[in-house]
Amino acid sequence: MTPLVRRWWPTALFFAVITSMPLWIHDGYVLQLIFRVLVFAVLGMAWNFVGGYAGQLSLGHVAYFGIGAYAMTLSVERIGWNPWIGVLLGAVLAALAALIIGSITFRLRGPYFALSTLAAAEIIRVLVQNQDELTHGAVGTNAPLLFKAPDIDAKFFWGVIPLLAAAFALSTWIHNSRFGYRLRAIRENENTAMAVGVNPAVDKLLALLPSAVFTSLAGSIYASYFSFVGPDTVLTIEISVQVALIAMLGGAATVWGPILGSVVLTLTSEIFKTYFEHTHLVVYGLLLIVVVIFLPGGVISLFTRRWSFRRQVGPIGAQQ
Amino acid sequence: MDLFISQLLNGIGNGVVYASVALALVLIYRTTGLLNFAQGEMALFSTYISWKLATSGLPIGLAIVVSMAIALVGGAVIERVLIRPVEQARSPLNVVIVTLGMFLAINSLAQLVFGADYRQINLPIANRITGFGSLHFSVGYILSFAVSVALVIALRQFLRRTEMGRAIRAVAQNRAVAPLMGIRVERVSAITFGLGIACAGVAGALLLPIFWTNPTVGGPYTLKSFVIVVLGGMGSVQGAALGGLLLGIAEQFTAYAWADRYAEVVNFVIFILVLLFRPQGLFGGKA
Amino acid sequence: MGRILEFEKVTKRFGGLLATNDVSFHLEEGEIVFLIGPNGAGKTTVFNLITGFVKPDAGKIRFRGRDITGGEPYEATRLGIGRTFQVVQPLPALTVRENVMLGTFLHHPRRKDAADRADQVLDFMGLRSRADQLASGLPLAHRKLLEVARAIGTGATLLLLDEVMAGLNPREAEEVVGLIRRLQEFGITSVGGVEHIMRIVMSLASRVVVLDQGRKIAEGPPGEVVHDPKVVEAYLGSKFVAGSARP
Repeated sequence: MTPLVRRWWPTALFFAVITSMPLWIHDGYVLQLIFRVLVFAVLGMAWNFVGGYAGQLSLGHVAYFGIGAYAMTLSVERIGWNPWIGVLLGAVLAALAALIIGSITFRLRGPYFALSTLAAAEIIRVLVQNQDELTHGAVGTNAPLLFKAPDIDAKFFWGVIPLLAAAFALSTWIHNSRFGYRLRAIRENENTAMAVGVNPAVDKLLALLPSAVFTSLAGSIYASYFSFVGPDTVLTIEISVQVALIAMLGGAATVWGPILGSVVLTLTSEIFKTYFEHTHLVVYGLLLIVVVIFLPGGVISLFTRRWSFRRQVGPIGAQQ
Repeated sequence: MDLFISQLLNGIGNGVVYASVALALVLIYRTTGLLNFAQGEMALFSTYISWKLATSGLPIGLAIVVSMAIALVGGAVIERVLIRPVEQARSPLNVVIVTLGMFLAINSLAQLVFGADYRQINLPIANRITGFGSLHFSVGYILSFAVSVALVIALRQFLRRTEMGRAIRAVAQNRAVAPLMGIRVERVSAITFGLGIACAGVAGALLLPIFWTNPTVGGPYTLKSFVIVVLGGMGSVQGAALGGLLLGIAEQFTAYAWADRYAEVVNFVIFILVLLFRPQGLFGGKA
Repeated sequence: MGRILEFEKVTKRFGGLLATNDVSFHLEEGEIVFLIGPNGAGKTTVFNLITGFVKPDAGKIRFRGRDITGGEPYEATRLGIGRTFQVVQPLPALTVRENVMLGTFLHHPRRKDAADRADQVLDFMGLRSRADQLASGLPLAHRKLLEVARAIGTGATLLLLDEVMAGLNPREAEEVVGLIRRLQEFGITSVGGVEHIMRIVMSLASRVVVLDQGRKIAEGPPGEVVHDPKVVEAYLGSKFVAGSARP
């Protein structure tokens, strides 16, 4: 457990600073950038439940992201609901999808599992892309606004912070609870986990449910902020991969890891786009490789090494 | 009936190419336990090198051989420099990150160096059409099919008959025990990786006379390879070959019977169905 | 004192191989019973069948009178059957204490309680000094002890030890023998073991069950069983059976 969590003041300071940002940051671009950092921090933390703690490398989390975005949009458009009800609907549908996808994919382990989650998300994307009458197909459509002017940017910003706080709280609870240890056991060695009384099938699903719900909520607010949903913006493999990378590079199975990961990855990707116009992806790819070679424990290991005397493992640790 | 046969043959044609790309992944997975997400990109790069050489004057056969050699060496170097150190931290997830990083970097690099345009090679013989009855195919298609089949057979023989081939199979079966038989596992891993890239590169090069190639084909090929590898039982060469065929045929029929756009997802549907009902794949031993 | 474990006419096939062939035996509460037999006799399979990692094709398995045939491993553990694995399987990225906590969490939901109980078990096993070390950094002998500690932590009443002595030097093995004799302290009344080292079996076991190629060929006090001609033949071949007419 990182000492950062044992003391309450870094957390309080962090949230205080973030909450204050719309008050002193007036550059719309910067605010948008930080908004994205925060959304992806939520996504990373959500992925972490399944990917970091339970060690199941899901590459299909964008499915829940897209469900959240589309459910909100379509329920407003087709049924005339208040978008916030749409958001709730998205969360419910994401949970249902998680149960279905989970019960199929969790039967598999390792790379099989990763591929099957990818497959599931792709199937959803293709279906959405081709159901023109229902979902506006590949073209996409405008997403409703969850907040109204004035100060719309600030409101969205403040809207994502409770989500971040909730994800943070759940992460912390999982990290220290019996459930969290059961997940870690599943990650390290499923046979051993079973030998100590863990039912992997049930626990994996229990981890996936909040993961899917948080991902869906983040998807809704993201789509609403950018006022758009389309299969190429909310159902892409890139998002699944990015979310996984954020958690893994930041420090899987830690509370702060995904937050750090999002800060580092989202910001550097943005900086590279500006300064390495044509080669930014090459540089980004190389950065990933370099970080992983020199910081196998993720970015967070920079901090834990200084503050604590133990813990030098890879993000997931050794797996059989 | 004619239509059915021509669709079937098209499917087989595509399928064989998929199979040869997938074979590379099978090799790599079996010996190193790694799923190389950059598989398609690396193969693509190798294909581009073939194209560059061929359009610079080298006869196409030689171009393919040279690029295969480059791929072999390059792959081995990548394995040694980038993958081995990360793997030794015993964190399979870290290796995934490395291959993902390479995917991004190589994809982008390919676009920068070779341009984002579609490329092809003009081989006069490939454009001739032959056929019998009411069935027509281009000679290029037949050539590609023939060479793919030859590749699969050659690979199988290599694994069976040569010493290195047997070493690769030994490592694939039991990585921990192989050193006890005097096998230098590290060297085998590096060579296998290189071989895998080379195979996939050749497969890509085979397509050059017939299809246009562009930087975006890497991703889908990687995914298809993964699906085929699982379909075929995660390790057998025959399995991958047949898996590739099956996929090619299924895609073709889906495109015809339903709509082109659903063809891209039929791989995944098949994938999930197989995993649900026969998780060991079509030829795998145990689940 | 009754029968804590009943293994009745159990059969298990793996493809063409008959790993367990109509085997029956039982454990009385308070006993230490060892399964012995040449390699490939199917001893570990019996443990896997009891703990649910493998499901039987025929037969019944009862624990404290309760039918557990074909149950899941976590059910067996929750009922009170603890086990170790032949090839030690610690949880490498967790500390020694956390490894044991995985066991103690079963009956102590709160982290503090689970940690305290884990420390008690670690004291007993002599691992307390390494409590904060990562399991991946332990030498083999300590990993074996950790494996046992984890099983004890689950609050088991029946402990199944699969070749726990393998790889230990004589001094370490003696320590483990001593610990096995004291398992009562943690509520473990009965022990089942798979073992190859006869010296250990003779000193610990109240009864021995001999398997050969999936069948039970002998059962009884260790002193007697060791002289049983069928047992000698199974291990050494028919040439060595005393009094045999063959050269």
